[in-house]
Amino acid sequence: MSPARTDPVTRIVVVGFGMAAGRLLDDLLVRLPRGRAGSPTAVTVVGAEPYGPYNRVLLTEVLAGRADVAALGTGDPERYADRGIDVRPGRAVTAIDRDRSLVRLDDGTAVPYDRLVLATGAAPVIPPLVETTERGDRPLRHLPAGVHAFRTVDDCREIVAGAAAAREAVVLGGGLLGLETARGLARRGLAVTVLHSGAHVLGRHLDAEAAQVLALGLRRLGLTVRQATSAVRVVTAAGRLAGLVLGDGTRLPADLLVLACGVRPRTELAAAAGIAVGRGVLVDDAVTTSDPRVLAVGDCAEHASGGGGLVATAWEQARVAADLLAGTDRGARYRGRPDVVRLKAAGVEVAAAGETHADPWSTEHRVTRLVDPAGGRYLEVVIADGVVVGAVAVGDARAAAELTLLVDRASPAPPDPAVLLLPADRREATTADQPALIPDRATVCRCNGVTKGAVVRAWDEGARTVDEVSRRTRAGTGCGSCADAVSGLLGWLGTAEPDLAPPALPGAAVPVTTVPGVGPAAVTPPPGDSPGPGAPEGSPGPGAPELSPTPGGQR
Amino acid sequence: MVLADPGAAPAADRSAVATHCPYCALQCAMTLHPGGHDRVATSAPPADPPDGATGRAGSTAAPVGGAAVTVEGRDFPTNRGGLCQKGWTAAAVLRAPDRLTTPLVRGRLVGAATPDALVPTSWDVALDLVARRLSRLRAESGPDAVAVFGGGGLTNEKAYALGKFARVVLGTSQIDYNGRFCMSSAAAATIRSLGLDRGLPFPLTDLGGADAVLLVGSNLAETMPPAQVHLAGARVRGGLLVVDPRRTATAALAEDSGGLHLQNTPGSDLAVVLALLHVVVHEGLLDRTYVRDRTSGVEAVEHAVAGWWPERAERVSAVPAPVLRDAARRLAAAAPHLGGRGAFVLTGRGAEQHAKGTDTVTACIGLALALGLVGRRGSGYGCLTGQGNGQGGREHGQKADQLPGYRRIDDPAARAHVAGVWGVDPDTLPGAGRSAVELLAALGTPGGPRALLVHGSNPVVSAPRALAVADRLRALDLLVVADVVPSETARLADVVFPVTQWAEEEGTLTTLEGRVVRRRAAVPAPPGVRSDLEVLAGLAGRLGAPSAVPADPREAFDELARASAGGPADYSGLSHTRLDTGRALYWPCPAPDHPGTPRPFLDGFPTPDGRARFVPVDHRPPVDDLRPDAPVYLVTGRVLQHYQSGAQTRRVPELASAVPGPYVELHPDLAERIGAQDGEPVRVRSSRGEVVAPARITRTVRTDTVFMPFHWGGEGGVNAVTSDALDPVSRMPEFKVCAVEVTAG
Repeated sequence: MSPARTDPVTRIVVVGFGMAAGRLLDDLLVRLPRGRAGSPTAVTVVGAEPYGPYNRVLLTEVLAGRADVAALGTGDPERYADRGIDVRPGRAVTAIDRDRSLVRLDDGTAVPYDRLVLATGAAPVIPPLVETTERGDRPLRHLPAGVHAFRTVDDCREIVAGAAAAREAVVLGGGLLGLETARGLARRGLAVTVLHSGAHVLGRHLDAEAAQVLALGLRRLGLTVRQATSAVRVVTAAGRLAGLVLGDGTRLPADLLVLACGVRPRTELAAAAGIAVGRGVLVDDAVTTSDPRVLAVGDCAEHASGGGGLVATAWEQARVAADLLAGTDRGARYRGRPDVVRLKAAGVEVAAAGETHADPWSTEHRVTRLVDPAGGRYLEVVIADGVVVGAVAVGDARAAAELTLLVDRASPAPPDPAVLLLPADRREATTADQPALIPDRATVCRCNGVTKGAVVRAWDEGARTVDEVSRRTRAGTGCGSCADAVSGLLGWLGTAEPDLAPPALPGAAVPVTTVPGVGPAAVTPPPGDSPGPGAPEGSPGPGAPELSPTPGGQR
Repeated sequence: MVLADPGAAPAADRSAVATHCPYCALQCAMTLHPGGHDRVATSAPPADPPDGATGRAGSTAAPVGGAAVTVEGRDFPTNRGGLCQKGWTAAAVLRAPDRLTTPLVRGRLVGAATPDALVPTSWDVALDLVARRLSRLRAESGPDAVAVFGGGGLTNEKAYALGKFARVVLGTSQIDYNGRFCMSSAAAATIRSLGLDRGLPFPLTDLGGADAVLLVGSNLAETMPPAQVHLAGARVRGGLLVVDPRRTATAALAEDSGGLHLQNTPGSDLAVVLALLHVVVHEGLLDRTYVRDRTSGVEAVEHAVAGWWPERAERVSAVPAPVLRDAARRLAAAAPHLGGRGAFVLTGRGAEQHAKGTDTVTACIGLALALGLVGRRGSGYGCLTGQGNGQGGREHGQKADQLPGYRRIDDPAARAHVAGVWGVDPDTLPGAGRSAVELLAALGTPGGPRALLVHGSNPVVSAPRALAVADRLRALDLLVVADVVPSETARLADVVFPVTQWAEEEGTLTTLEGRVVRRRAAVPAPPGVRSDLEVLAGLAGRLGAPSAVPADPREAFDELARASAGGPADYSGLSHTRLDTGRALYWPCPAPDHPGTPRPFLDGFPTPDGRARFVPVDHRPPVDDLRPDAPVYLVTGRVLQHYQSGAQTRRVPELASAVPGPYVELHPDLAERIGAQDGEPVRVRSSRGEVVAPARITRTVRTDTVFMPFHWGGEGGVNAVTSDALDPVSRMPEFKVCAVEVTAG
């Protein structure tokens, strides 16, 4: 893979030093030959922020007090410099000169490139209700005090500082960023209102019903959620935020406003250089722009599959770019992957993956739902051609985890998709503590494979104490933790009429797997064996409440 | 036999012998009563397996001639007198009906009428034949033409002798052992981070006082059941946390006591642990003072875990983000710096047997370091060693890159010291050889070894990609196997040496906690059987060795102790006589008056600067990951009733009837999708091979995963399917996860 020594040095210039660029550099470093004199690749990275790359995804977690702002960094600029990368933090690229193959910096210097990677990210959208002439991509230094965009670690610090003095916060925008921000502010003790101009929150990812369940959950956590409500203007007093005027003319008091109205890819450099841009810088599967020597990755890039604004997308594109630039895999391609979003907000579990707006009545999809607003749950799985292509989970963390995975893997669907909606229910049943209901082949002493049936037999042979049972069966001679279970069985045997022999056992050739429990006589039935053969016909399963041992019935 | 252990057996029973169980690294203490004593059981093994646990406490070997032995549990800190079903029934292995009692040789090698059969022969004929052929192969192809494969069940004395035999008598670099399949990832990680590999650097009983125990990839309740007793404290406090793709017996222990089961996707342990570390870092739960004073490199780890927030780990592992946070907080709350009574992070093969096993253990150590657990009394990181002498087996020179005393073979000072003990020129010692999987793959290939000596291992069943291993063994010019019974590997041999086992021999083993214990002979070996030491000494004599191989275990131990002096695993203060006092002695023990070292890291770490090292690692997917034609993960593991390749336990009627064969655990959803019925055959196919075994439908497995126990060969031998992708650091094969297609019938 390493180029021949006669190859000229390849100069790679990366514009931007955020999450996508950081990952690209990490991936390049493991792919490029190390520490060799005359390394065939020279890498320069230019970033406008004065920091190295940090984990922007966690900024809302910082706000929620669940992440440490000091530990957000994913790599020190010095570390990259030590590995031979020319790092220029705090420098902005002012222009790309494609004719001369160089980029111009705001310090008047120029850096020549053979391959250029744009990782310029995205800028927050500032809605027109804020009276400022500094809207758009320039630094937002002139927002009124109390009004914050939320994109950078500096924004985050300012919001945290502002939250300490504020009481009533408004978050404008009910997308992922807005909801996570609202939850974080609420955890800091503020009264929080989410204003969402669309019909329902997380509209990009959830349909109306799922969103209503989510909004209900947010309200239960004390947040005010106002959907289909727009703000038209901020009200200031003495240069400070005092409130907002809403579309219906009413006024909403606020001393902290966070703008979470989406982001726009930073495309100006590319556009000015004549590189094709749409919403973002247009890239193909090789994350390459209309100029074959210029690549773009992360939030600034627009791929045909969509999926912008997600870190998984940015990192996947960075990997492809690294493979192509280092020559480690010339066939590397980015083909898009299902959008997967997962809300990070304590007490509000939301995941949405892949196709989440499928029409249940369409013939293309099979859509199976569980809607349980009172229980705070909404679960949905979407199947097409026998494959799980979409899922939504609100209010159920386990379902969120499992359903997301199914979409990620394009997993085959089971014959009845409904089983996917209750993953917790598909795990092993909880232990039974009713001796009468434990099947005879359930294990009491795991260490020595002693079943309930064997303990019963020992009783029949005259054993009346735990020690006597132990001597006959070895129950309790391993870790000893089943002594309570044996004692519980003996107590039950002492009260039950010993007039029936243990019934014959179906499936006896299959060995038993069981689980020792904690409490008295806590024993788990063998798998797939609900009431157990020892239970009377028609009796409920092990979970049945308060069923006393029936004389003669359970042996 | 006079007992030295105080209180080991009833005083009246003069023939009783205090020893330890033949199986796992817990080395439960037991007393053997030769002759059956007065507790001989009379009943046959259960006729009705599921209900028929009719065996007796103190069961004995069935009377198939020769002296019987009765087993009794013996009080000891690790097992507190308890034994599992394997231990209670261990005596039956002594009387295995197909016990080897005479050397066997392939007929054509001695001109027998049946050229392809193994035929009985005399020891002299067998030893002469092997010595002659080894000499010829060495003369033709050089010393590396002969390879040696050892085992983690061998006593310290045997492991030492095997290494010396290879390096001095054969002069070969080609020696490794099945411990490469067990301990190598944890060993590599602990040496990298802590400077020393001692499985548990604390007595097992320390666990009892902790508020939380995190088990990553260990099914301790099934693999070493009596050890469960030490989890009781953590369970009472809701602090048992188990990471496992299956709801194992151990995971159930956690959930049923208010602890947590993190049921992750196979191959995602590293992502889970990185997320736990992420929470510890980001929620300010680090022990800053400890990290500052006793470690280095935390910044790089903070950078590495910045990208593993719980929701991202959830997407890889399927462990819900709130559960990850909960687990991290419970573990942290148990840490001493936050006022807890102690916390432990323990790993097992489930986390280690991966192509990223070393990194997973490294992350676990990082988690323990971040919480200030390692080298602090009542807390720590540890690896739960599996094989009986898995600890000692990795210290005395049967590893490809190692000399006795856990010394590196490429260290000139180590070579000089060991060569001095052996009385040879250091320059004559070979260098590092191939690791186990690579060694097995090279057998009989151009440039690879042409002969192999196997002691204490059954790689035809236990190695990954086992079908290819059998092919390699068949391609050899000479395969010599020393074993107790005709194992699957022995059946392929050209020469088989019948050797002693467990209750027939003297020696030492080093338990999972680094304590050296005595194995003692209770009964004479059957006539015609010799010890591995005698076999090696006999071959060494015939091969004209420059340094003798001691045939007597006591002498072998004394020599081992001298060879280990000054090394990381220093046994020089130990002897059979000192161990016979019954004192608890943990290595390192560098002098006869040294008390041993139960907790080696209390005062510092054996690294150049005395600090433990944080090492940044990153998660990556399994090498053989899911794809459309292999959409299900296969994981492998153990059942309580069997041990390793099953060569011993499958011959114990009570165990064999309890779990008679392999099976495929699968979730009802998966069973429904493929049309599998409980008890009916299921076919599991990977790109390497396929197996067939009956379905066992259970909700304890994930819907995307099937599980098979690995104790069998043949049609249901799961290692025909497993992956031989290797960890780049430890050379551990990725036993624990591969992609398979599962079909009914």
